[in-house]
Amino acid sequence: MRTSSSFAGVVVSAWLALAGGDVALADPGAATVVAIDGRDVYVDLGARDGVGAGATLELLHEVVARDPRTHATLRDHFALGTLAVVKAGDAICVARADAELARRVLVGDRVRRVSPAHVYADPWAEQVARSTAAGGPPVDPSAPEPDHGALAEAAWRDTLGLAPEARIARWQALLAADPRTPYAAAIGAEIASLHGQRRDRDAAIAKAQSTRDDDRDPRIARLAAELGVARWSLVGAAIARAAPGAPLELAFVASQPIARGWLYARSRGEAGYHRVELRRDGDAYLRATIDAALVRAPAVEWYVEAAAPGARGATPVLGSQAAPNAIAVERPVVEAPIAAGRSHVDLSLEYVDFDGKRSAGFDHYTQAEADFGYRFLAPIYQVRLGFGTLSGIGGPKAVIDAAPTTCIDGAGVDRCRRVDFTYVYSELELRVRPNVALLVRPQAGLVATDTRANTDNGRCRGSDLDGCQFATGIGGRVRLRLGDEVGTNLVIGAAFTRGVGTMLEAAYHWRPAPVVPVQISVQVTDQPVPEDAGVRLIGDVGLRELAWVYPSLRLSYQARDLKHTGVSGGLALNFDW
Amino acid sequence: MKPIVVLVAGALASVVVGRGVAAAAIVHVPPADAPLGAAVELVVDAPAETPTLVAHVRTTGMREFRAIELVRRDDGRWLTVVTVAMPGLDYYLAAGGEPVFATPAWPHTLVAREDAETLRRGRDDVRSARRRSRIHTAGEYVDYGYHTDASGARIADRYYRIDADFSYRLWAYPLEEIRVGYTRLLGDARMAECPGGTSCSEVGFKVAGWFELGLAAVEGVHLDARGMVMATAAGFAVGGRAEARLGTLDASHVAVGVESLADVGTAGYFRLGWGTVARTPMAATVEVTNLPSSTRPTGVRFFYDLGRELGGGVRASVRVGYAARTQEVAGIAGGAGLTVDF
Repeated sequence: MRTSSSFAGVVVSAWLALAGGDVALADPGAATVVAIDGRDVYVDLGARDGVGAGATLELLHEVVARDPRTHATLRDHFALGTLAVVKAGDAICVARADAELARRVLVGDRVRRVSPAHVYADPWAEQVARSTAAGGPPVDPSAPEPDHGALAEAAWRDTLGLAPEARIARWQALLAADPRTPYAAAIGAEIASLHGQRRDRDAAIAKAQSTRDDDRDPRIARLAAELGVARWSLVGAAIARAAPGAPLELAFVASQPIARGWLYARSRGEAGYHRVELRRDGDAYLRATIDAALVRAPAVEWYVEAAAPGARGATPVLGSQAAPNAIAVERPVVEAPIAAGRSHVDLSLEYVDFDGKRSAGFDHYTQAEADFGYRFLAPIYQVRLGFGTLSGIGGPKAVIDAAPTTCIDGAGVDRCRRVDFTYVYSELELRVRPNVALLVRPQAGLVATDTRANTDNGRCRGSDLDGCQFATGIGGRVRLRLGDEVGTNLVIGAAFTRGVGTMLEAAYHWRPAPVVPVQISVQVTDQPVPEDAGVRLIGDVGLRELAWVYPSLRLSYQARDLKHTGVSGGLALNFDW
Repeated sequence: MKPIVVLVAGALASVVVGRGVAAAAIVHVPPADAPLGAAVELVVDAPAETPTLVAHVRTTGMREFRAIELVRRDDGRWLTVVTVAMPGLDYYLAAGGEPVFATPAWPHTLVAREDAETLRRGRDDVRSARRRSRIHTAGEYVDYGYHTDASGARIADRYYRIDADFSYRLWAYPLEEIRVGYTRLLGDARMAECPGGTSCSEVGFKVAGWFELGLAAVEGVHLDARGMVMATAAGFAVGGRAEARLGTLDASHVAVGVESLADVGTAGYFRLGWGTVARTPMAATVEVTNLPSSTRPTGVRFFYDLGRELGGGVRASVRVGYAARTQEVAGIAGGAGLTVDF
């Protein structure tokens, strides 16, 4: 009996080896090439089959032959070459073929292990097994030793002709019934082999049912998953800040080949990312350039996606669309060059006569202004600096009308006075909206008032200062312009200067012809001295034949009452460049 | 150029296999609506690895296409933003140089849809014969006849008025039009109307300047509002005028209005205008007024305006009317006007 058992054990061992325990020697068809990627060959052998990194596999091609005597079909195999396993999972490994062999290998080719089998233990599985064994039914040490060989032979015969699932169940039942069998390792390998065959069968069925001729990648993905490969891990450094308006070249080093890669970049706030394909530079470098137009403040955002060789989908490998890398971009520190059409000079001279008697009258003034303006556009649209003088005479219109040659009232007092106002101003133009501008002009100057009667104009500017009063004339002017600055617009404003008077104005500007700017204004003012208000109707007409200069003519008609009216005019010269 | 070196440390074998990428599905649904001047997004559903997507666009009627590369919005969508001008936008999409939506020979056309304001502006443009500026002058003489005072003296009750204005049709609704003008109104004075008890011969004003806004929140319903400043016999004064109008001023319309000129007086009127005769607009107006002085009794006026289009945007008009202040004081009125549109 003892001898019989020993013999049976040897036989079962051989059968198990034939069944899959030693595929390379007994059944070369038990291992198969399941996928090929260049020189990498995927084989359904793994640690459970005693295959790990460093193992050697032999690649076989199948030959179908027919016996001419019996007409029986025979399947034989012959060796093509050897493969070196570079990585292995439980049931799948990747083997590297040389260039020559790689050109001849096909999916479905048989493979057998030629290097010795190794045991690759899963520490966690061993721990589970130990705990299971510890918790199992107690073993009676006095019980007779079962005939392990007979049990194994019976199980083997039971499995013949069955599907892999039934075979697995039968072998698992044997392990449960005879936990001390010496063939446990071989049986475990057989079970693993059956699992692999079942997966292959399922994959083949899925492949057969698929209508896609490119249905290879999902399988590769699954195989990769079986190998337990992690997603690409990234190590990188990024630019913290960059100068605006300069292209940014990015370079990448890939430790593994990639098929294609794309750099996505955008200026922060843009609707989407611009795509730039990475270009190869040598064996391992990839480069891409972020266009200079995208490099502007406050930041440029970017990420990289790459596709593995043969893979259809690209995956983020450095940043992502939701969490891009950012390079802060400096704000331009160089002042923009002087732009055309931003500079403006106004020179104007105007004579205003309210009583129509010109120099013989007592209600008129002359005003001259010169200013320079530059349009910065932002944050202040325009700044204007100017100088002006206002010189004239004025008084109560009732007295002037009653004594048009003397301006002396009933009490014998000269009620008219001459005023000289010399002032400077600066005007800021702010754009509330594209067609709405607010112009604020503070101004300050010297007001000289001549209180003596019948004196010459400008006496207080000379050496005879008797009767001259001097004061600081502080004032300002605020205007609101609606419409285009050089086209059609309406301006509403108010101005006040202490000692000189107040002015309210509304002006409408348009260009009835491209070279003819026209402005009609209505003013209410008590200038040159704060007495009675009058109404002025003013028309300005320019002629803009040249782009950089145009003259304009002003005519005005004004009145303080029905009798107190006058016609006046002025000239202006405007420069634009 | 500032290089960045990044180490892409990929674990082995996560990447594998695959012999060529099948043509990816590229789907584009053209925008259903393309408002004129508005930014329109052209969105394409395509995978990340799709060849370069380019929109080739041109304004309908032009020859050359302009290429705009689409940018990636999210995983599966690419877009570009275009502005649609009149009359529309032709475009086709290409991936990797190959048309994937429409073709250069048969581009897809987005017809520009004008918004309501643009359409209204177009109608106003037609009404005005594409002339947006107007110069208008008018003179009127109103004679109520003679009034006999307590001493038996005959005192004239008459005045004349001159208006000159310029208007520009902005069509920036509700602001349709802006107008600036000058008015002169002088009449024979009575002793009681002279300020300060002094003698005077005239009432009214020589200088009045004004601005008027033509508002129309709803097409065809107009409100003209005018602010005036003037130098009357009493000095500086402020006045105003408002007119509500249904219909077009130069065609059939009804209007009601009021004008107040400080111590010069006030007038209220109702006008019916019609443009039933080609190139000959007409209007009839009834007015209740105490011009040229607010101290005078209220009178009524009826006058008829007849215009004639002379061509080139020029229109001449005449006015005839009858004015009565009391049973004893009544007379005729007449005037003329000239309007130039350009």
